[in-house]
Amino acid sequence: MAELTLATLAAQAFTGLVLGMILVLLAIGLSLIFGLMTVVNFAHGSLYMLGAYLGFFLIGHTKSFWLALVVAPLLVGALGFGIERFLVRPLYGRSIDDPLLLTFGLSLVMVETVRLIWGKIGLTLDPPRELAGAVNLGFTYFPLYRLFVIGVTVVVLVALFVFLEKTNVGLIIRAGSRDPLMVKALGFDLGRVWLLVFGIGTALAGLAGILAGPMRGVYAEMGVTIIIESFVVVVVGGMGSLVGAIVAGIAIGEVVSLTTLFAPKFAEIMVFIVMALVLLVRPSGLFGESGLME
Amino acid sequence: MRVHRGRPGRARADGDQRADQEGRKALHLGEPVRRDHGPAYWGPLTFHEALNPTITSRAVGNWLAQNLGKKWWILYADYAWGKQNNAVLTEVLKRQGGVLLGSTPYPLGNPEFSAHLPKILAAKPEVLVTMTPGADNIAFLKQAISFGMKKEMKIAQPLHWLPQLKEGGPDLYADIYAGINFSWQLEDAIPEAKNYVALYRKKHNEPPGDYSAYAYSAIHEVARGITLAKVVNSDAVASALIANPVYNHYKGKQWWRACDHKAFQDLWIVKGRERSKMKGEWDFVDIVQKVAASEELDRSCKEKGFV
Repeated sequence: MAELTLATLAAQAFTGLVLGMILVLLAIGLSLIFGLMTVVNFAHGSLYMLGAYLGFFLIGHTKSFWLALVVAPLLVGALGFGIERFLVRPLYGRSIDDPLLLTFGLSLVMVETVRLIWGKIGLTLDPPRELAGAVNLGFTYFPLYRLFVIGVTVVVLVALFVFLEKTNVGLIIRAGSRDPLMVKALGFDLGRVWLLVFGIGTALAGLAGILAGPMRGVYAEMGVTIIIESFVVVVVGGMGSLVGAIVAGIAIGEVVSLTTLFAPKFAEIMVFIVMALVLLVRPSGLFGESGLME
Repeated sequence: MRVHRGRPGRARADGDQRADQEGRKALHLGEPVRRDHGPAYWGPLTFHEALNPTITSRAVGNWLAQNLGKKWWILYADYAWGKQNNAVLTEVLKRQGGVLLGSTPYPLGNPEFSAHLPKILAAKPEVLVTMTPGADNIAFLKQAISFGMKKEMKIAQPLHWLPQLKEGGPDLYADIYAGINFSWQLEDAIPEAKNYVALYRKKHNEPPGDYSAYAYSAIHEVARGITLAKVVNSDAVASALIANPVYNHYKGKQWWRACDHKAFQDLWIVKGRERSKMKGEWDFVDIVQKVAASEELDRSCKEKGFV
């Protein structure tokens, strides 16, 4: 076996950080939609996949990764508007299971539609030339593109924080999630607020998809496994908690990476063991509020 | 007479031996479902046209050890095919006097390999052998290349598949070694291959891949069996094929082994070609060496449990 050095450990921990950041990017959209609207969006994985396919389509037509990086999430967000307005909205006030089942069915429809349009064989998406290659971090060589993904995630998190905490719209969103009746009584159109939140959440899934494409390939089923991991992150962090999604995403990334170093066979199951342990100690997750699912 | 193809499970192998309501039995020409394919998954009407993990990994593994290096790391999908190849390659490397630095399973269908890569890089193997099928292979190669692994070590796989080469493209597959049961470039060297490739191109407007070649050969074997037996009956066709075991439909001489109806055939070691050297959109590999058909590459009938 390879010798275990400090450099190997550091490289493994850093890899875990990057893994975690990708999960954070996806989980944050899920958490945002659930925390503010109490909708468990099972179509999130398919919207992630759609972001990657639209990215492929746009890069093919414009030859610009950067343009696609901006436009693909906007298109997925626009689709999110449509899903909320015409499919999810009629289910408000009903059981939490109804939108869950709707979005689950929707995810299957999206996968099949993508197969019909782009075929069953996957596609290859390359990172832009500027982000090709690896950089020396001192303890390991690391792909530049993965560092870029960390940077984008950080920027998105900061922007989201500023939007929710420092703007008037953010204030209305936060107020609407705590006391929708009072917000309505004050004359605000809550329907437009939910529309915006759902659109932002789905656009984040699209952004995660186009960012993941150059690392993992683009194929119709790419959202299936990652949606499970993302739900684990949301549950461990606490349903609806944005801080929880960040902390849990990074923690799960580290658990996967370090378990892979010592016992690769158990890397996948460790994620669920961690989730079970957290729920045993804190049934609402690390940062969750009790009663949200009721 | 019915004809099945694909991987026969135990129920299928049993079922094939029974006549249906019209008194017909099914002849099965397919691929082995598992490495230790023994009598439990076999019947007198079961024929295995395709290569199997033992043959492929013994052929490719021996070539890798003799030509690229004897310090290996193996990364494999944690399910039957990956495990079988891992076991055979480990065995081959031991026999070749090599050193296995590590052997890492990963869950099939997981597109994230980055957590596996730092320790493989740190171990500095001469050859990284991977069993990462389907979409996993594209994700793995993308990540391995982004971590600079192509420059640090040779990367090899038991098999290349033409549809996957097309999907990943030359930037991913250049310099990746593998075995292959058939490559359309053999048309330049083998007359039967030339005929098959021409027929396929005429019908599909592109060159044939690996599994279509198996199907082409298998269906020709059914026709040959019927011609030999002079009757359309599964038992008679099976007996006729075993009595006349040598055939050649698309790539040179092949033959059936009597005890387990396994087909023995040549295979080739290939290497992914760089984009700048490709002559046309399907020219993904350089043929490096032929590995001649040999029953010694598979487990013996005794080892498999056939009396």
